[in-house]
Amino acid sequence: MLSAVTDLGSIESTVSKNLPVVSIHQLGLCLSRASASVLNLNCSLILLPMCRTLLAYLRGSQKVPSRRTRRLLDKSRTFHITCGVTICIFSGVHVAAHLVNALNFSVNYSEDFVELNAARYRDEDPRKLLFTTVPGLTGVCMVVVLFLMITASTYAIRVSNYDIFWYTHNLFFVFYMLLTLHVSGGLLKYQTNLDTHPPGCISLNRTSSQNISLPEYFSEHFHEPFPEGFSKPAEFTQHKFVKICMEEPRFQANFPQTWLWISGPLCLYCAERLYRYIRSNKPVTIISVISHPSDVMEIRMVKENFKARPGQYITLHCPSVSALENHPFTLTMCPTETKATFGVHLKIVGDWTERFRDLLLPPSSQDSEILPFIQSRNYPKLYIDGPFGSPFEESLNYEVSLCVAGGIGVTPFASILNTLLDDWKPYKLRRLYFIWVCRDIQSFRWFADLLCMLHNKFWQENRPDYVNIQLYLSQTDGIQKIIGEKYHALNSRLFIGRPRWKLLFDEIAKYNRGKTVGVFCCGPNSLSKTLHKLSNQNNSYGTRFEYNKESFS
Amino acid sequence: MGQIEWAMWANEQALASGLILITGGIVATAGRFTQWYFGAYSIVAGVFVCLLEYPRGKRKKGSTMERWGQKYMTAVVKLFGPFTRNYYVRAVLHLLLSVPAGFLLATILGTACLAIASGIYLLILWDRR
Repeated sequence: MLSAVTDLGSIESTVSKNLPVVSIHQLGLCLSRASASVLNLNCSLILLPMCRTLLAYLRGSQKVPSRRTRRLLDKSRTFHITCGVTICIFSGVHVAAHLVNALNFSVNYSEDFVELNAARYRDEDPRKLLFTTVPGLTGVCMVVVLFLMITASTYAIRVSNYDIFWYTHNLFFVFYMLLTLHVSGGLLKYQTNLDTHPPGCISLNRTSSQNISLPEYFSEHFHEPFPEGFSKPAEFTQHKFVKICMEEPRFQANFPQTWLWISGPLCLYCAERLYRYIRSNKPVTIISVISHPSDVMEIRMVKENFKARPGQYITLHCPSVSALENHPFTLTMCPTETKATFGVHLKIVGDWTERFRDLLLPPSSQDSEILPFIQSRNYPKLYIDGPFGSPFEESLNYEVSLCVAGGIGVTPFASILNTLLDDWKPYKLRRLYFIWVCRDIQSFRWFADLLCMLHNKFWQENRPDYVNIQLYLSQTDGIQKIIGEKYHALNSRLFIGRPRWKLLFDEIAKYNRGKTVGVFCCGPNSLSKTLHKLSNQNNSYGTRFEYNKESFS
Repeated sequence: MGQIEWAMWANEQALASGLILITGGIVATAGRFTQWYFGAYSIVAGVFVCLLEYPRGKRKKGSTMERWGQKYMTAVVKLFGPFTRNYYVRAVLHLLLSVPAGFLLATILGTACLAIASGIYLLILWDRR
């Protein structure tokens, strides 16, 4: 916005000072140039949040020590969407202004400065201007591409038909190629010989043939058309005396600024995609596939040189299931120094996961817990991309963290718990409140073993207050339920009904006075909104709750 | 690819095209260009398309997010019965509506966008066959 305003301001002031009568056009040009500046900036910035590997690296590196800066990275998707909306609005302004320009170029064709005209002759049909010049044609194509991309990027489409959004959004590359051609038309020119032909100068050749008195001449010709180059306007507006032209004005096309703006981020993005492609080209080795209750499947695998931090996610690509689709899943177990295995838990929800499950777990053996060894030879090839960062990595960097999971949303916290089971001392975290809300009692069996082991470990190390587990069963049919006979610790921490958040927050605030508590939520939107609101409320104990949010489409 | 519900996208496109037609029409009539009456037509056509496409159709499976205040428009659209329900009629209607706007420079983009929306509706019909 700032660039548009300053550009508009400078153009308007020079134009108004020098040209009470403008030969070619005024407002249309200003608006189109100003909106072009904004578009330059946004088209270059919009690519940066999509360099996910770079963002994951920044999140984990020592170069970003401040938590506030890392929290900015959480908002990268929102930033991308904001830039997109800005591009949409200012493209509208730009197109409208140029349509007016096209008309003006043809109607007000200037015979004095033939080079400055975009039209080839007076009253050229503006539609011809639009479709037969390079900027015009590329502009029209870009608008069509932008139209397709924007209509497919609305929230409703992303939530219901993600494929349409994904396939049309890949047209961005066409958009950038067209943009590069669009500015190469050389329409905007600046005058190269301002010293020998300053604006407002008098051409002696023309006046010698006319017998008019000098003062009259001055008053008529002082309003000479101002060439389009605005490079040195200030000096000439102050001159009190009039200069004599030595030669005819010469014009040269401006260097397309857009190339400078977009080349950096575009190269960065292309480099990142190339790096990700090379990195993900080697398939993983699937060690085991485990079927869990409530339609959840766990896959454990190994890959050479794969390192991940707890809380990060990967995308799975299985060509036997779908050649083009990639699906993101949070890691539930990260590779450590001693153990290279990592794993994901997938909930079987859509057609991709269903087909994936059918390939890995043939229908006959879907009831049993672990797949017989003999089937492992027939596993399909699986490629992973990542790991990519997420806000949940931050939970180990708070002294006190509150982690709330809804259903399958427990997966990011599972990797945190696995890491704590391995070794909790290197991290800043000293107390973890873990709340898990599920609809079905069987869902708790996904990580019941992990939770019990963790609980026992901290009891034995004499740190019983390190992890506070609360499990909630939100829907019940009245029958008393338990998770399993052997899970004593969990059964005593199982509550029926929804959690009472206000009481919980008050309790945490009371026992952690004056501290900053990191709140993390992975679950339905309504849960997230409630927690966000409660985190922002003040409490009488001086405890600050910082809400960290991840947005899923 | 067969699982994609194109109708939702066609609906969004048609709604956006309606808005583009209205904007182009305003630019054309405000500037009083030659043949500005095409601009006036474009505004009217844009408003009509927007009202027709405002109710979001129900999805085949899964929940549909309704647009705010859509139920009032749905009652009106339902009155026309099969004319509005049928995608073939919609596709042809959009195509016909888009043609007059193509004569004026300011509204030519509205034409292109509405024609694309009409094309997607036709794609749905071709897919179903």
